[in-house]
Amino acid sequence: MTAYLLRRGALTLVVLLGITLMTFLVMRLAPGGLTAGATDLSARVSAHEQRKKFAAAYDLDKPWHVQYGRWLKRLARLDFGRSFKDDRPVLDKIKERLPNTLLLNVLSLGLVFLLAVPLGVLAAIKQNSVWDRAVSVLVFVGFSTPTFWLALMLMMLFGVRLGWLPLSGLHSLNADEMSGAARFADAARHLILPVFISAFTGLAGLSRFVRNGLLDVVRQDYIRAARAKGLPESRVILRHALRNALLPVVTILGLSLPDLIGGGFVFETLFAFPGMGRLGFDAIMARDFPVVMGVGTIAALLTLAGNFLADVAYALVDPRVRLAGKRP
Amino acid sequence: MTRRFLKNRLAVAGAVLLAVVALASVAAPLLSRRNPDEQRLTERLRPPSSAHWLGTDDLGRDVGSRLLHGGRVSLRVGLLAVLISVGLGTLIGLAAGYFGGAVDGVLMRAVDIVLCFPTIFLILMVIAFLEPSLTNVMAVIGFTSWPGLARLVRAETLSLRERDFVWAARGLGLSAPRILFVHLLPHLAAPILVSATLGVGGAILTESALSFLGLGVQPPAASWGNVLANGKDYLHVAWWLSLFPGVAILVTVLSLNMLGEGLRDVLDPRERT
Amino acid sequence: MSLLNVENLRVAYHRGGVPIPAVRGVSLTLAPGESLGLAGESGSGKSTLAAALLRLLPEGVALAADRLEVDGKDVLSLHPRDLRSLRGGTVGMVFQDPFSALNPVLTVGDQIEEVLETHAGARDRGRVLELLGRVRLPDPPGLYRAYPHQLSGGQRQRACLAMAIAARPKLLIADEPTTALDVTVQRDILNLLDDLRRDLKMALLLVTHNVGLLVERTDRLAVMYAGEIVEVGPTREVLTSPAHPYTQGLLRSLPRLSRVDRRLPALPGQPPDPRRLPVGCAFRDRCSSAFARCSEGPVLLPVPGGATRAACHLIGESA
Repeated sequence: MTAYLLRRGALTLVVLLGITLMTFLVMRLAPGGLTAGATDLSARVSAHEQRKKFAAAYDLDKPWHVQYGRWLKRLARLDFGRSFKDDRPVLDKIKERLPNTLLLNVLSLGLVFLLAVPLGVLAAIKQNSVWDRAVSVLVFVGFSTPTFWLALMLMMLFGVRLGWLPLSGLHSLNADEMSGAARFADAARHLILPVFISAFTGLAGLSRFVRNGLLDVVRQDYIRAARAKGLPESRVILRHALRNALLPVVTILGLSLPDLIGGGFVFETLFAFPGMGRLGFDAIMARDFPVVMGVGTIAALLTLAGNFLADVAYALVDPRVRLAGKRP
Repeated sequence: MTRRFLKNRLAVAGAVLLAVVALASVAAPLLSRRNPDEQRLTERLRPPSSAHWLGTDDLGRDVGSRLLHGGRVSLRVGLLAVLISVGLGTLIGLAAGYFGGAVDGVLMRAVDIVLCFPTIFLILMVIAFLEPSLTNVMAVIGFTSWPGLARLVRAETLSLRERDFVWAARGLGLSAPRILFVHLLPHLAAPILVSATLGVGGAILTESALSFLGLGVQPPAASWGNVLANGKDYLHVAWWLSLFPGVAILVTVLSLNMLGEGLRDVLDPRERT
Repeated sequence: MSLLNVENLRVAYHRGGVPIPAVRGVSLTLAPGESLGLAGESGSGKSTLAAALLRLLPEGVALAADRLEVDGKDVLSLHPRDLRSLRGGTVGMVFQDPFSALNPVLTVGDQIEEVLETHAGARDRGRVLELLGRVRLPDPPGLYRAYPHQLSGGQRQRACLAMAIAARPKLLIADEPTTALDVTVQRDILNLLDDLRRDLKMALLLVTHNVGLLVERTDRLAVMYAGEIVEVGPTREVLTSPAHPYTQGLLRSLPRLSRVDRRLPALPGQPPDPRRLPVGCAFRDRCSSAFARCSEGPVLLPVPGGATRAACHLIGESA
């Protein structure tokens, strides 16, 4: 297992370096973009101001390698400079929002897992039955639905028509006046729609994956051998088949992280959710470059961390990896 | 092969649905009863009626016509974006899979790096710093979705590389490009086609998201995404503005997904029961 | 009372609507404590037959028989709960590939203990260790904790044997138990099989394509060809004076040390395609003694309870 993890760790480092390079390149090329699209004089002036600020903030006058070295040092400290908009340190702004986004993503992943596994198992056990077809339909529709539209529809239904769920933010306006438990419930109500929307596409993907994985596993010899031992069918499926089929799920969940974080950019804005995605989106719109760089890098780092954790989890869960090459 | 295709209900259903959408879009000028850009301020925000089958928007424009024309945009973007991503992805995947070693290492690290950034974020960044325009949108989507296909092509190439016909070709002294394009590529046609079909669906979803955010097709030109953006502002009073564009996207992408999955079943020699 | 009583067992696969017969009317019996060898080449239907006895066939496969009784119970109409009691409890089974027969994510000890839990009502680590020792595996505590991928081929097969005998079955079905193993290990496993049989007084159905393995290990020998049993009888008799032309050809083609420098006489042709079986004797196209009668109608197959019988017109009717 150590060999496996070392290898994955080394690859992760390489990718990490690549991320720093990529962000560095974007940083160098961007100033041109800051002025592009500025058609009127006032916009030009402000763009010019921005460029000056930018050059100062990122040492653009120094030679190439010095710039990169400084950039790396700053990345190590997670120092992305100060926001163009309100001059606050970028890292502070991200720190405020990140926990909310993480909360959203974790809940979303949890929901995906909790729903998709039973659905996939059901579809596999009753292959080609009504249930299987229903799950199939769900999968197709799930992949084809534009999430922002679904969000709108649900907002309309639950928020406007029925008035059950709040439409924006994480806390109601009078949240400070509420007691602890009430605040918790209030936050929970605010989270229902975003978490569900966030989980929707992932749900479709994972249930299909679980179904196909289980169907593959069930054809294996050890399943027939388990039946030959006289084990009850429930045991054969749940203990023998499912455990094998779920092994890759850990990795899949890790790999779906970038999509989750990315999706956040759109629907956090829709729901006015105080998360990192919305911060990033607003910053892009306002050309608040340091914040954009900060959010992008953090997002990439999170993804990398998520993938690495998925690898570690897989190594722990699959005995063939965990105990590779060890004789009893 | 055609017979197998016709037998696969999923593929046929998807193809038929897609054909309907495509035809409707292509024939948009003929089918629209009104000019999609024609504003009639006396008829703002009218619900669906016999005069306007899908209602009107906040400037009195006929939603149905706008959606028909929007279809042309979406399909065009989808196709061209996928062309770019398939081209790039295939080249990179082939190179990585066939040459292996350092080439493979470097290329795949590049793939990993690009995949770490949330695609939407990359696209948003690029579009924001360039001008939002149809061409930019197409290019950006194309240039950010090649990694997935590259990995797929690489995996297939790796397994095909050890097959006898490749050894034979190398033994005959054929040049690498010839082996790659004349001998290997036809075997990859099936998975690439499937991936491309599904990719068009994805590109359409991305384009509509961008237009929704105001970074794609700019008004007054119609796109499903920007009609939806309009709808967002009038959520409380005009449900039709939000419902119909989404349905259009859903149906189109659904047809592409069905066709893609159906093709996968038809073209896969190791069919699953 | 016989342990195994099979009459006219038929198994057919369905591919694209066309039924492909794998077993075409097999009848056999097995007495308690008796060992029967089932020999045949690939595709003869012997593994399908073995699996069919416990209804372990994949979905969509048609199984029918005039009689299929194991330990006096009618397998075809058995309630699922009773079928499960039969499997692993009354009848133990060992498969060809020990690696794929073991679940890779569960320990060996766990998988053996499961059998005890199901049939003896409780998990018993001590008993598992005892079983591991019985199948002559070194370091039982270590192997108890080990995962299948950590074991060698021979070790895995021994573990599978331990699983099969854990509930003291009356019958052990071994489907090509040594085919996937090294030659050097094969004999050890077969010897182990013999000893276990004797100690536990089990009946044994040993399926193999290697007739040589059956010499002096089985009481009776049945030869399968194209889904039918073409000859059955006491092993010694069948091997020394085979009655069916197929058996004769098969035995002739076995390499023998006494004939090192001669070409191995092989049976001409191939077994028939199960989708296009010839009318009459399935072997007639390859048989050097075939005559007119062989192409007309079915040949009477040997019925259980008799002495050596062969499904061949040369012998005369099996009356």
